[in-house]
This record gives sequence, structure tokens and C-alpha cells, in this order.
Amino acid sequence: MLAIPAIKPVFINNMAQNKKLLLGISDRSLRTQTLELLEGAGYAINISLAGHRITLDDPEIECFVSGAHELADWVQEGILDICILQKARLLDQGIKVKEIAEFKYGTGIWDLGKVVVAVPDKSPIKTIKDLQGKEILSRLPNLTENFLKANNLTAKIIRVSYPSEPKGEMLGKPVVDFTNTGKTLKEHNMRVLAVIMTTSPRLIMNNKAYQDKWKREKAETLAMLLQGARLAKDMIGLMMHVSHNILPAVLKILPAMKKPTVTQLRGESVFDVLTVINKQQSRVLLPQLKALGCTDIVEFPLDRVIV
Amino acid sequence: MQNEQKIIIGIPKGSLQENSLLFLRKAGFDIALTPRVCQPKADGCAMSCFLLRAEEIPKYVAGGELDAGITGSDWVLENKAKVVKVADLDFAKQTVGKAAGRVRWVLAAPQNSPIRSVKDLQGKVIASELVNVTMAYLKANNVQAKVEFSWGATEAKPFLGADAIVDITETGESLRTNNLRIIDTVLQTKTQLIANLKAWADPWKKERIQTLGLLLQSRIQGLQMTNIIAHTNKANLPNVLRYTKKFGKPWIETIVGSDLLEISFRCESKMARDFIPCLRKAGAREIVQHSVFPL
Repeated sequence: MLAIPAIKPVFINNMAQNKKLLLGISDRSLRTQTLELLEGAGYAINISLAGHRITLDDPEIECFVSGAHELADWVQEGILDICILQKARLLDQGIKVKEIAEFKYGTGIWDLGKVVVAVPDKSPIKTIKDLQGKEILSRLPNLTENFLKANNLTAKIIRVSYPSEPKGEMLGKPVVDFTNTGKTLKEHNMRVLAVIMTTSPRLIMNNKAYQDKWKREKAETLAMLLQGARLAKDMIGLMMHVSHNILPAVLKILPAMKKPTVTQLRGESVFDVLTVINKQQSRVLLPQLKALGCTDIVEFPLDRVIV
Repeated sequence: MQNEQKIIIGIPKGSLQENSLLFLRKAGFDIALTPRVCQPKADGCAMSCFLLRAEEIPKYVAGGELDAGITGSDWVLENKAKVVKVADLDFAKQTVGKAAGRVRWVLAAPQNSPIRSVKDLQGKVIASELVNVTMAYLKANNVQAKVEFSWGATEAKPFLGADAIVDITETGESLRTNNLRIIDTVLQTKTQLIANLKAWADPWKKERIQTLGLLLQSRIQGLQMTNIIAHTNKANLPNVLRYTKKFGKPWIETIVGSDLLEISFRCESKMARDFIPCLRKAGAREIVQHSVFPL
């Protein structure tokens, strides 16, 4: 009665019974987007009421939910096989693992997040030089120390846990934290003093697990599907009718992630052109295509794009 | 066009509502639903709609107040309604596709109850929304027991005096949560489009209702299918085709100005996740999946 019992063995030849890939999922940061991508990759997700048990419709993947800090350690130690975590988090903790894939999203956004030094709006601190000798509340103490060192500064770094912004606001002190939309900083009347780094989520894998062929292939397939779901958010399909006299001009302006497919319509000198383009490009392209004389232009969303 | 002819259909309120409206809309019927309105507007569809409990739709279709309706085969049986079964619609509340066999009415009792089979029900009390069907089931098993009508939330009844219940289940989740154990399947049910006998005899109405059934079925099927477009070169084509052949003949085209080929085909959405990595391994690149319309 389950969805696809008979199909899997046909496609996955090296399916080993009771082999499992242990996937860490952050309890907070990146969580919503990671789950959305898993869903987009084709996994049916079941989340327990409390939210700490996540099950996928793939018996070969077992999910474990915890805080990002702990997950990073656990992948390094081999308690977990893989996890998606921010690069800044890995750098801060000096995590030694294999990076399998890099993604483009942040907490709450489909763009990259940043690690910043922020100060209360009314703070006299105007440039990073003013941080000299101050107390800094940081969620990423090692990263903060390296940043200060690189700028020939010394300051007292106090490690704080999430969230840092209310503490910075209350105590009137600079903080170092992740920012994605900038919403939390604004809510707590903080302004960005400097960007320490731009950070992207990475799919990381334990070094020993990476040596296991089955686990590595499973992880790489997962990475491919997640990338496919992510890319589909940035791309759209485009279909249109083009008469033969304007075809060369149309093909010239169509960018080719996929080379456009051109089909001649039966018995006419009109061609059907199908292509996949970037969503942002479409804003510019559509009016141009229209001006050139393309007709019946149809844009359609994509589910997965795998390059 | 003063007396514009229309068919009157019943749309089930409640568990089947969401998917019914989804597929009606996908089939091109622009049904506007505003809260609290029992007659959703369906402009330009030559159709007027009533939002009714699925339980009652067979009664009104049999009586001729409605020409057709979407309901469960369970309620047709329960109402002993004489109607035409126009089309099976393969969806339930949570499942689309392969819903048949999943949604069923089961006999259930508390985990710790001594009741192990239908035979243990002699002289007991059973609560159910589906009284007539339950009585017929007991009769077929030569068991005499009292069937009490339940307005719903039947899972609570074993703790309020009933010895067992006959309730509908799709995933079994609700029964498990309430510590109930399934003893037997009483009835498998499926979602159906049914029609009134008289309306079915009217050629114009019959055609409209038949078309509605076909459109709904194709949309339900469409949701289970997805389109895949991929590029490959001549060398890898046989490899790729080995994988795609289970989905029929793919559409193959050459791409002008390159030595690439484009193949496109439709496959089951549920299979795409495991299938795409294989396709890539076989040498396909720039794989795009979309589900908008058949190519």
C-alpha cells in the first residue's frame, strides 16, 4: 500500500539492506529552507509535533535534529554522517570535514547571509578602530578573534548564545552574529558596523563516512537533488512561437544555460522555441522578445534543474 | 440566452473539499469559494454548485435536486442511493493517486480490549457514522449487536460506553493516536462522481457530466505525472534511452548548432527523485523537471 515499493531496486543497484545515512538537521538556523529543499528534492517529510523528530520517506536516510553548534561537532566526530551548516560556523569551530556541496540560501532568505559586527544605533563606535579595548558579545568567538587580529585590534570577546541582539541592545555593546534579512538587528536598534564574511550553507560529511562508497554516493545524490531543487527556484521555463524571419535575432538574445530547442511547426514557417532562463533575466528578456515579434510567450515554473 | 441550461453539482464539504476544489479548478472550472457561502460561484461554467456534506450528496443526487456530485462510494451505500457512477476519482483527503484501497472503514477497539474479531461483538455496542453499512456487515457475519449512530469524532466513543467503533481511516494515524486497534476492514471506499438517473437520460446533461468526469480524471492523473527534459550526446543516447524506455517513447530532437540531443518524456512524479540521479549517471545533463502541462 506504500507509495513505490517495487520501483527502487530497479534504479539503485547498490542498495544495501539496513545501510543508513545519518543526516543532521539544525533545530533553528537554516531549518525551514533546508526542509523546503528536501521537499523540493522529492522527499516526503514528516515532522513530529514537538519538531525534534523528522522522518523522510527514504528508509536509507535517518534525520537527527539538534543545534548547529553541536551538529558540526558530531559530524566531525562521526556520530552523524552529513549535515548542512553555515560555512562561518565551520570556520569558527575549526571543523575538519569533507565539503560536498555549497548552496545559496540563508535563514529566511534564498540569498547568502553574512556575519557582521553590529553596534547599538546610539553607540559612539563609528568605525572598527573604535572596537579597540571594548567588550564584544559574540556567537562566533574564534571568527571574531581572527577578524580583530587581521585589523590589528584587541578586544575582550565574550561568548554568548543565541540570540545576541537583545543582549547587545540591553548592555549597549557590540555584537558579532549572523544576519540574513537584517530584521532582527533593526528590531533591536542595532546597525551594522562591518561585515566579517559572507557565509553559505555547506553540505558536510564526516571524513571516515566519506571513505564508505555507499555513503558517499548516497550523500552526493542527495546533494545533487538538493541543488536541483534550489536551482529550480532561480530558473523558469520559457516557450514561444517565432516566425522564421526573426528566429536568428531571437536566438541571439536568448541566453543558453540550456541551448534553446527549436521545433518547426507543421506546415508553417513558424518555430516553437523552448528554453530555460534565469528568473531575473526574464524581466529584461520578455519585453525584448515581444518587441522582436515573438508570440504566444508562456513562462512556466520548474520543479528541478540539474546541470 | 435567457434560460441558460446548467447542471447542478454537489461539492463535498469537509475532508474531500480541498482536493475536490483543487481538481475542479485545475479542470478549468473557475469556482470561487468565499467563507460561509454554501453556493460557490462558478461563472461561465454552465454549472451551479452546492457545498454539502459528502454524507448527504448521494441523497440529493438520487432525489434529483442535484444532477451530479462528488462523494464517497461509502455514502452512496449508506444512503442506499440509486445513482449512476460516472467516474472513480483517485483522490482522498491526503492521498492523490493510488488512493483506492488506502481509504477504508475499519472495525476498531481499544488496544487493551478483549475484542479480537467481529465474532466477539455479539450483544455489544458499536458506534459509527455509517450505521446501515455497519448493520449489513454484522448481519453478514451473523452477529447481533447494537449500532449507535455517531455524529463524528467516533474515536472518542470507546471511552464513552461503546465497545467498538466502525470509523474511516486513511493513514491510521488518528486511530493510533487514540490508542485504538484495527480489527477488521468493513468497507473500502473511493471518491466518485455520481449522477442522477434522470439527468443521465438527458443527452445534454449526460455529455456535460461525462466531460466533467473525464476532465477531473485527467487532472488527477496529471498531478501524478511530471515532465523531464534533458540533454545528452549521441554516444550516451543509448544509455539514457535504456533508462527512459519504461516511460514509453521519448521525444528526441537535435539541437541546432551543437552535437547535443534533447530528449523529453513524462514519468510518474513519485519516481522522479530516484530516477533523475540515474539519468545523470547514464550521461544526461541539464536535466529539467516541470509539471505544468503535457509537452
